[in-house]
Amino acid sequence: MGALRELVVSVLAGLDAFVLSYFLVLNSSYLVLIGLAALESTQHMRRLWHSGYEDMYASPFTLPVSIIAPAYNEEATIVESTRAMLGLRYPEFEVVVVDDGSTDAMFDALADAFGLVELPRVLPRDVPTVVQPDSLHVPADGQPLVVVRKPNSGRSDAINVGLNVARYPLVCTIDGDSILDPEALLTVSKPFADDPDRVVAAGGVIRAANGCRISGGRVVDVRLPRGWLARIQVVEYLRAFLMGRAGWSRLGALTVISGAFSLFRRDVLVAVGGLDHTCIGEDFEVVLRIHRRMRDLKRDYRIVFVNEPVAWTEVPSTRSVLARQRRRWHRGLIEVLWRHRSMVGNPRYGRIGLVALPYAVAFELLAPVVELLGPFAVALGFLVGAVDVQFGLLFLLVAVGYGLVLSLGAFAVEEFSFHKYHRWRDVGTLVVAAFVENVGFRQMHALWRLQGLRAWVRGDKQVWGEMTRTGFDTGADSVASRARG
Amino acid sequence: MNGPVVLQAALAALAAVLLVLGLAISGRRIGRQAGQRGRGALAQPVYARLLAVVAGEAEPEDLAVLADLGRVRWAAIEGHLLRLLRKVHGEGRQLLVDLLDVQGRLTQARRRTRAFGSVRRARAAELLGLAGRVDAVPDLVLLLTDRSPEVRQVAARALGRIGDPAATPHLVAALADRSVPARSVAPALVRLAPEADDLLTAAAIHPDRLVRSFVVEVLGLRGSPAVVPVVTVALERDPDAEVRLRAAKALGRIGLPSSFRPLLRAAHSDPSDGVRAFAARALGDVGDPAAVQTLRRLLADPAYWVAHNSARALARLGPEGLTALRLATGSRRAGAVAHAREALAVAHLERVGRVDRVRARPPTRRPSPPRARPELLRRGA
Repeated sequence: MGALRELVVSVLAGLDAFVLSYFLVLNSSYLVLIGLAALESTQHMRRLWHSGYEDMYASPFTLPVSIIAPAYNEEATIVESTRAMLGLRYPEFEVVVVDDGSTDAMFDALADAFGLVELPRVLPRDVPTVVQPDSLHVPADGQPLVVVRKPNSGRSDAINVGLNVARYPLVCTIDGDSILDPEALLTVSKPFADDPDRVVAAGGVIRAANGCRISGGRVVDVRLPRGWLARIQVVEYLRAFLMGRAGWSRLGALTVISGAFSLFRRDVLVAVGGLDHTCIGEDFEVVLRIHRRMRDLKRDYRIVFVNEPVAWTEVPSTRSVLARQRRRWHRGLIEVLWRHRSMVGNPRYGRIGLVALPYAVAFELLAPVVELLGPFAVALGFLVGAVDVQFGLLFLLVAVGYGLVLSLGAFAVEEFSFHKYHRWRDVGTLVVAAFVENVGFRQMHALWRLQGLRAWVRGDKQVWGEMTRTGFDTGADSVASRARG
Repeated sequence: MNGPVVLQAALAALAAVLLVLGLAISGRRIGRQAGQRGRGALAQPVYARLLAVVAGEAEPEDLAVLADLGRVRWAAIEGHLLRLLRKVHGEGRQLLVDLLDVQGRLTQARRRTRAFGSVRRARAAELLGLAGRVDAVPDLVLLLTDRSPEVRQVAARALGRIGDPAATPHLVAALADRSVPARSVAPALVRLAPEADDLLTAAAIHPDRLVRSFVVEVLGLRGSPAVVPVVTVALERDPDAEVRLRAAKALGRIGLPSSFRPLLRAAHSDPSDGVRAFAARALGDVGDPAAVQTLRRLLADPAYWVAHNSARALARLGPEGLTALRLATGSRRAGAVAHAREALAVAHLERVGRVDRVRARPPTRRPSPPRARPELLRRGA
């Protein structure tokens, strides 16, 4: 009996040591990434004055862009966001809205607002698609807008249809309900002008639009959302885009650019066959496929993150919708990593294979397992006496404190560079949100992600789920609509 | 050292870091707000005078006050001035440049082109370009070989803004050795004064394919009919498809009737689909109805963009082109029918849109009479 207890104690002690080391390495890696992001942001701000956006706007050599916006039942927001897209500051671009078989009055809203007429257009079959478009519509007054109607086949296939419609050498994919800053396209396309031979894709920042005032298709007053769940996501997005994107971009190992706002070279996206409609984490998957192809062809290339232009999007404001979203994201992550498992740890794929993907497996895929196992192991350790109570409590405090430092560090980078949140009250709210995130949200989040993992293991059917969108705050009454999340 | 002691130390360190971060965020906010208030208060009394300069309504007193501003007040107003400098043209712009000169900012900028920090050198180059200072061209040419890619790029842009043709060989060299991205050099070449045409024409037969391809496109954008023979040779004889493609684009843009035959040959028989597609489009730009037969044949081309551009070009060739498109809708070749239908629909939309736009156009306003030219700023005014 004594020997068994000894064994349990030593196993638990070992487990606790593992959990402690895991958290230390994970949070320290976050800290390094925040440091890199701070460096990137500082350099970006110092260079703004002479970055040449005005010249780029006037240049006949600036590559034209096709913006592809797949939309499904976005009646509440589609006109506002399409106007915002058409009002972007860019020398030459077109907007391709793909109506993915909406069942609400989204198309009618677009037809009324822009005076659409049907155009019999011949499309190239550059990328294979599951369904073919039913019809194409353009405004009679010549605005650079194309609305494609097609049967519902999912976001990825809608983007592929849009890719066949797109005429220009750069394609920007954004969500139909996103609002872009006016300069967003100029800024995110700048790497393509600066390094045209190597840059094949670029991503920008996504922020929460909940609570912000929107006017004329623009975010005119940045405010924090009213609910705590959305406020926590503001902190989360700030940290994730700084660490997960800017930091990795600085290391030359960016593996994710958000599907809600990304820019690709059309020929590269066509060469890899467009987005994979069978995969639920399609934005991550397509970036990995581009990495794989470029490395296989031994091409010198770059995928970059630009931290200034912002796409504003509505984040889930209820627990059930957020849970569905996070389960789907985590399932997408494991699906993509499994599909590209031959790249993980493979020196042929350079930093992607040796650093970014092993990191994704160890600290993103397995994080919910360890995050939930940790408290359980510590509690068990208390019971059998393998862990000193004082040590356990101190460890808990350190874990929360480290999390707070990371969130506040990200907020400090935001404050020193972009300072989008102007009110003093916002600072206090974000600090409280950062605290709440670490003492309740994080554990809940780990549980949702674990459920996503379980769904993949069990081979459950992929579902996007429904998301309630309330529409943007334009000063008028908000309109509720149901849209795919 | 045991575990709890280590954790206690870590906790203390984390608390200290949190405190520092909190203070840094608050300090930054307070500093920014105070700075904005301070600069606003300093700039407010002279801002109206600056706007008067830009609007061309400045009195000599306004210019004298702005020229004599002390360092602190100048610093508060300089950001506004530089923003305005990017937006205005003509006399108001020249007065802003004169103000920068009087305040010694341009001399300082020339000095700073040799500064240690790359951001300083880039900012200096940007300012000299904005000011359009021809005397700064040698400094900027030196910056084309700077160790920082960013500085080289800003210098190329600045040389384009100044427009001095003396910069031509240096910009072409930057294009050839890839030290500046082609898409930054090419717009600069387009902006150079017309005297640069001869040097650019010579560069159209440069041994480097990248130089040739961008130079022929630049020649097309500059639009001088004198360059057509050189661009035509590029279209007909260059071994590189990218050069021929851009030459077709350039000839279409210039739109001279003499380009018709070479473009027709390229659309018909160039080995590259891209060149044929661009040549077909350019035939629409040139607008000679003699292209109708060739373009009609190309409607059934298996290359999507060749057929697409041929249809669009036909729609631009007047009644003959439209008739050819209508005839093609009865063709037995499905591709040709579809492209012809699309082009006809677009042509119809464009016609309707043009009518709508003409109907919607507001009545033209009479130009206001020119104002009396204010006295130019003089050093020490």
